[in-house]
Amino acid sequence: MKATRVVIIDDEALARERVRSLLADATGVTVVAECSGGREAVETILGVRPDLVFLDVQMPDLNGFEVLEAVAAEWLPAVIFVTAYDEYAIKAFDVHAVDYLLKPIEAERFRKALARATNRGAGLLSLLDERPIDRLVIRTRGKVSFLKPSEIDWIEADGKHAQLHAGRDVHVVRHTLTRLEQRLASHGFVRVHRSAIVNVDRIKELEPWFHGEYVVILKDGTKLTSSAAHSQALHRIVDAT
Amino acid sequence: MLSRRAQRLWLFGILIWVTLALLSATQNATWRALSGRPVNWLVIVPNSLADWLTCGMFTPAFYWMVRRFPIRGERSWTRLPIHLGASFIFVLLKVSLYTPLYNLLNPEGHRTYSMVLFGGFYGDMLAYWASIGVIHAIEYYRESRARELEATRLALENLRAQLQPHFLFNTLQSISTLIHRDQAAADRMLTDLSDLLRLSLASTASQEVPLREELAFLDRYLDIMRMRFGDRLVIDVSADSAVREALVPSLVLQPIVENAITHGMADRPDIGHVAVRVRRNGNALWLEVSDDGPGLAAPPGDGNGIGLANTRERVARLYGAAGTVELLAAGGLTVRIAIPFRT
Repeated sequence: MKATRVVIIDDEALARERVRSLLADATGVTVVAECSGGREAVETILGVRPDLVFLDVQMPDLNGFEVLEAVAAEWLPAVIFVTAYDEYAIKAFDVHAVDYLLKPIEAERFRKALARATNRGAGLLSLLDERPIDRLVIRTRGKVSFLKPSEIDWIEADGKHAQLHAGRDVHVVRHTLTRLEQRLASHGFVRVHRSAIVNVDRIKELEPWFHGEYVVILKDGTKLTSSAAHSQALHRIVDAT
Repeated sequence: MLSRRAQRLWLFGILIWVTLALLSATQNATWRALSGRPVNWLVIVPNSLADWLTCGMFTPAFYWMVRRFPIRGERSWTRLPIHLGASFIFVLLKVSLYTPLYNLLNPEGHRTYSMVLFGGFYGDMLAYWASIGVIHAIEYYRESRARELEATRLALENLRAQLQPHFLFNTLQSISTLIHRDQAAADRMLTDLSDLLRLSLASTASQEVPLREELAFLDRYLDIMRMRFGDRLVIDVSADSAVREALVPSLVLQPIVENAITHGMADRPDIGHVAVRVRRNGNALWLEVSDDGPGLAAPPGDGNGIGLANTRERVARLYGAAGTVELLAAGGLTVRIAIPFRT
């Protein structure tokens, strides 16, 4: 049987050491890398594509959720979160049945979490989906950076992913358009079409088209056609501003 | 709708004036009985009520005067002439209300305005000053209660800031790691943590401590942080020997240093520099905490603002305008707390 490849992510060396020594007692597990920060973690996860990561929630540069958000479009490992104290996070983990460990880590609980930590899908993604967005974590030319909702011009659906258009850049994130629409609604975004969300701030004009449809012209010249179904919401928001 | 406090005050006010009127009526009746004159309660009580309640009607005005011109603080004596003037105006107004009322109640013994004025001048003056005195006392009590509550709240919040659960559990995690590898180090860390807990519990009682005690506390904290972060954290603490006895707010440095560590490493988790510097500048003592993080450009992290807002509030409370908390962005970020130099 192939060994489970593990990456340990924590900004404190002693905390990583604890996880490593607990893993030493387990069979069929290899630690392939350790990271001391969020940015490094994103690079490493995408580089070594591990089966499982131990992910500290609180790190100074990127928190655990943001690390996951940055890699999810390309590689989603199984995750066991590790946290010292974070009421919000713990509630979220419980809601989405995601595995987590509390510091200091108890050996018995560690073993149970390790034995269980094979499912890598739905819970994690729904956890990410429900996090409020203050800043999106994206990777541009291999580098991790942040994108504030206000920097996004418009978003285009792309299968299970979405393309964020921000100035000249296009970033692909692992979110459905519907989820993004919900999470960005409070930041002034509106759905204009089955496959497009627009930052209301960027709309230059609306040109009437056929059958109650509009051509939405953005400040950078991009033209999007709104579907009749979404025109009403669009109109309401544009009128209100 | 009146607030519950206002309702209580109104009720209290009315009750006081009615009580005074009844006491005065009793006194009057007793005096009449002792001097062998007839006692007619139906005459005495309404007369007394009319006299006292016309005074009582001015209670809201008294309240307003006390709020507007409190006789306290540095230049309290300048308020005295104002109240003297107000007391004269009060007596004149009161008598102009009371005179017709008196004549209505006593049709057989008509009195002129002047007669009423000089008949009760002394008592009415006294009523004004006594009311002002009582209202001052009530207001002072209310304010001191509010101050006390505020101080308790700040102390609690401060305690919470010291003992950030995060810090606590992460440190426990480090200890649990060290137990397996380096028992002496685990022991040291546990002792440091215990000292830290003990000191932070003890010092909530005292507002100010000598700098050397504050630095000893900080040392314990930094020992733990150095063990947790190893080479990635470079911390430099410097204080002239001349300032080591200076009084500083207790536990003022640690939350700022904690912020600086987080902030300093936000951009570059590889290594963070934090410098703590205490020095005298004229009559002021400067406590400076600097990091080499992204300056003011960084997004404020979790809870970062609370520590600083708390510090500002505490410093303002302790030193008034003489204490300031500044943020200076030059390279990284420096927090400078300036307080009066005292030993």
